[in-house]
Amino acid sequence: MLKIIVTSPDEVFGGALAAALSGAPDVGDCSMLAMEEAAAVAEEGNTDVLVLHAGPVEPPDVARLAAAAPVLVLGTGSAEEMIASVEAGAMGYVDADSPFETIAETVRSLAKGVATVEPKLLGALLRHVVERRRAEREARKALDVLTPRENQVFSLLAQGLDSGDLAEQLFISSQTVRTHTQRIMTKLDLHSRSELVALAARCGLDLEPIPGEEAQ
Amino acid sequence: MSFEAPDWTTATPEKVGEVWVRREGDQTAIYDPKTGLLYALNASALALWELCDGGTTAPEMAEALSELTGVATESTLEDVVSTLEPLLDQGLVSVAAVDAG
Repeated sequence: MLKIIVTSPDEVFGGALAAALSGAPDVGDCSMLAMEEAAAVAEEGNTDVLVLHAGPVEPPDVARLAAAAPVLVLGTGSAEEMIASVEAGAMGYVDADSPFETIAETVRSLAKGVATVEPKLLGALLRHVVERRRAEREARKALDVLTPRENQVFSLLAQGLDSGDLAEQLFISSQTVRTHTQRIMTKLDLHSRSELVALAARCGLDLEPIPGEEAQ
Repeated sequence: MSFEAPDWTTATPEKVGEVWVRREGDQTAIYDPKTGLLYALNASALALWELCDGGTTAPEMAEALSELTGVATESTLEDVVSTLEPLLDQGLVSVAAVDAG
């Protein structure tokens, strides 16, 4: 049986949706909660799908909720909003004005682990991903000047590892890490760790939040 | 006209001619006034047809699908090709190969 959380600034809409979902035979628990409470409950685990109804959709909210449970965004149906939602981590997106059956079916898809967006928006999403990947490939060409080892150090620096962690992970000394770092910064004409992280992001590398320290 | 099968690893399919498009729910009808034929496309086929701009390769489409679905690119490339081949047969797209250099 599915456990679903609905969060919406519109209590009438959110309440009605939660009540309708609760009536589905495969739904065990569906609650309408305020955003903060929804995030807290989802973070406890066991939530199959979190339905976020918002207008406008705030990507940071999506990202926060998506870290705790699969998020279905119910939005305005615009391609831009759908792309921002998916980029922020939403697993599904449909127009909030869609029929209840469409929303319920999308919830079930997400619960099965199937990412689902409004069919009419699929082309725009594919186009966006193709263009982003092209831009990432282009940005990655800048890294061709690095040696394989420097590439490795670059990736780990971008993931937020400090010199000590990096030295430990690569079985090299901290001094060698510093030398690699200096060379990387010079070759790529970078002046700070944040510039390095920004380049890594443009290259499409997976990044973790980093402390606010500057590279040497 | 060549009837050789395209090399889908480099092909850049492109929509052909003027067609009329009408969306109805998850299905889309494409009417080709030149031939008088009507085609029905599902959402995935329509999305791929929309990407046929003469500059996007089938592997690029497959990579994007793979990223969105979590399915391996080898499988999504098969899906892309099996979607595009009928469109090619029906004359809704044409294919030019990218010079691999």
